[in-house]
Amino acid sequence: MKGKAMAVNEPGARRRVGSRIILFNELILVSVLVLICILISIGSPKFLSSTNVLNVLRDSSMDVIAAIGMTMLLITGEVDLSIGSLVAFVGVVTMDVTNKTHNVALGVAAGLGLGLLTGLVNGVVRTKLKVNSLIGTIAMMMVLRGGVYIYRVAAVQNYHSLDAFFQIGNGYVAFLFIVTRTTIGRRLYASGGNATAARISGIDVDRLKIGTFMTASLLAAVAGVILVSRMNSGQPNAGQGFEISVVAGVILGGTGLGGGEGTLIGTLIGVFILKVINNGIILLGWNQDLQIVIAGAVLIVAVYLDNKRKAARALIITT
Amino acid sequence: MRKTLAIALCVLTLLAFVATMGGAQGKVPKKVGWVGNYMMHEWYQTVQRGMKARAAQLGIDLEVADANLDMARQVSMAEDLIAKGVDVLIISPVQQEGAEAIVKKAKAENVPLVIEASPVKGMTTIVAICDYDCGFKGGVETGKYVKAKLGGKARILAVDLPALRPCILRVDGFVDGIMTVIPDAVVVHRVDGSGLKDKALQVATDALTKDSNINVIYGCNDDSALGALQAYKSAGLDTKKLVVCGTGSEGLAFIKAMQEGGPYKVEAAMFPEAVGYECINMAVKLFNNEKVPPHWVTPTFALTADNWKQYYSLSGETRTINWDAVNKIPRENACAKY
Repeated sequence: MKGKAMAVNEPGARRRVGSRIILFNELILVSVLVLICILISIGSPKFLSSTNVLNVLRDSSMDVIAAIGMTMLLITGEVDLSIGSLVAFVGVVTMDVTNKTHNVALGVAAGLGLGLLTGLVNGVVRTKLKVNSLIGTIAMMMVLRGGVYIYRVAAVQNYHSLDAFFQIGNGYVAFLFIVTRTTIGRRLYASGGNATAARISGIDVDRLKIGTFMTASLLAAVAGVILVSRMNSGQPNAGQGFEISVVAGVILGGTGLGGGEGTLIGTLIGVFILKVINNGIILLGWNQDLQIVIAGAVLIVAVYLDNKRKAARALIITT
Repeated sequence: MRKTLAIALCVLTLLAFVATMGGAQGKVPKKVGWVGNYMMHEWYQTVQRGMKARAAQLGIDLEVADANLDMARQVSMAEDLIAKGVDVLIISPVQQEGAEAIVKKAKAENVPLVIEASPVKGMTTIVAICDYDCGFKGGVETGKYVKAKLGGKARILAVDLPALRPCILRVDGFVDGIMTVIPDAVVVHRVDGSGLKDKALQVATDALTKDSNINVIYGCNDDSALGALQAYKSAGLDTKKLVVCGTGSEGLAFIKAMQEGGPYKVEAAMFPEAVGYECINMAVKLFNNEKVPPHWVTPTFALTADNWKQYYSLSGETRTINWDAVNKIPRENACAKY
């Protein structure tokens, strides 16, 4: 017993314990996802059809892309609640600029530029003005939502009909793959995952956080560009509640609210669980209000399990 | 000659007197206040345009405030406007129950109150469309199209907003309306799109996965209809076998959709400009203590791809209502359902 305690007190042993707990957490999440899928497919055989799987992937793509940035932020102990309003503003700007220039690349660049600028402001407000990110990004949410209505009250319709514009929305799965499975994606994630270590190591934390805020906003802007392509119009009222569903997916995926922990694969599964529940409720013909009720209930269970897991880990490490 | 002149003068004097009497009966309030529900919404922006246009015609100073979906804020703003001395107050209630406080306050302060859109207990009058009848008209027109062009069978995807009673009435009206033409029409899906295009796109995508055998899409507002149409297109389904009916005529989206010549063929129009215009007319009536009906119904009509130009003209990204045509639309004395 004593020998075991000594073993887990060694740094290498702690990492192994941490990895096992994370793996255990992800296994539970995967099991929950599989169980939900089995239950829904029993009630609705169409659930496992290729069309529906593609639909769920398509529907999840925007959340997953934004959730990657949100995971990084939460790992660094920050949060961004302005992404829903940003998605709307980016969509309106992207469509408007594309209409005016008849150039999809310029439209997308304008949208992504707005995302980067928003992230920069969020980061500066947090690191230089020392405003708590919860408050700062709620303020930014208000600025962006009000701003988009000042910019344009009515939806911006598609007056260009450029084929490339529609391909953005169709390319969601490829983008999802790039962000989650390639070196670029892993580096993005790693920069978030190393935030705590960076702080301890004396790395420029402010710079790192500003970069993380910018990455998160850029990814939310990418989600906005995909959304506008899918909707074929820039809607100022789009993205309402988007930030909540993204944060819920990330937390459900095991990323703690206190920062310093979380995995991208957990986030992926968390987002998929919520999306599959939403999809299943419609396929099963249940009352749609259950989408909100079940998501809320699942979130409470997830946070409860997270607390239990943290307590268990603390017990193991200090034993 | 003198006699003729004398008679003419008498007649003119009498006419002037009568005209003065009429003017006294038709006094206009100097200042009218409006607390909107959610001014950022395109619908309310268009209502505001109609209200401002009529107020400018009559020389009324119109002050507009936005409750921004906050009932407490609406009560506070209404009290502020009453304190500022508006002659008539107009509100578009955020909540029917919560707005009762404003009705009581206005009565206590003896300020005439016009309610727009949603009825409130204790109110004198409401200016609003008949939601059920509006949906019904859209349903009848859609049914005619289905009968003429789509083989006479209707399988409906309805995008609703069950949190709002007016939206439920519109969908119910649409279904009853289409059934007058296609008695065996089937509502295959009735989903909640939250009145938003992105949400409508999501839920319609899932609904179409469950059963894509649909040839009619109805949206309780334009965004709901257009979101479902996008879902239908994304699913790779044949839009030539589809007809779409939206509701509201709140902006340019439905006009553009109709201009494209796709499946968006019917619009259950609610003419928001006319709603704003009639609110000011009602404010003048109340200011003059005229007897008013409990519900002043504003016009609704099923626009089609063939007739919408009679009611709206489009210049660039600005649409202009054709008042002559809209004023000729027959109005219900009372709604079929509330």
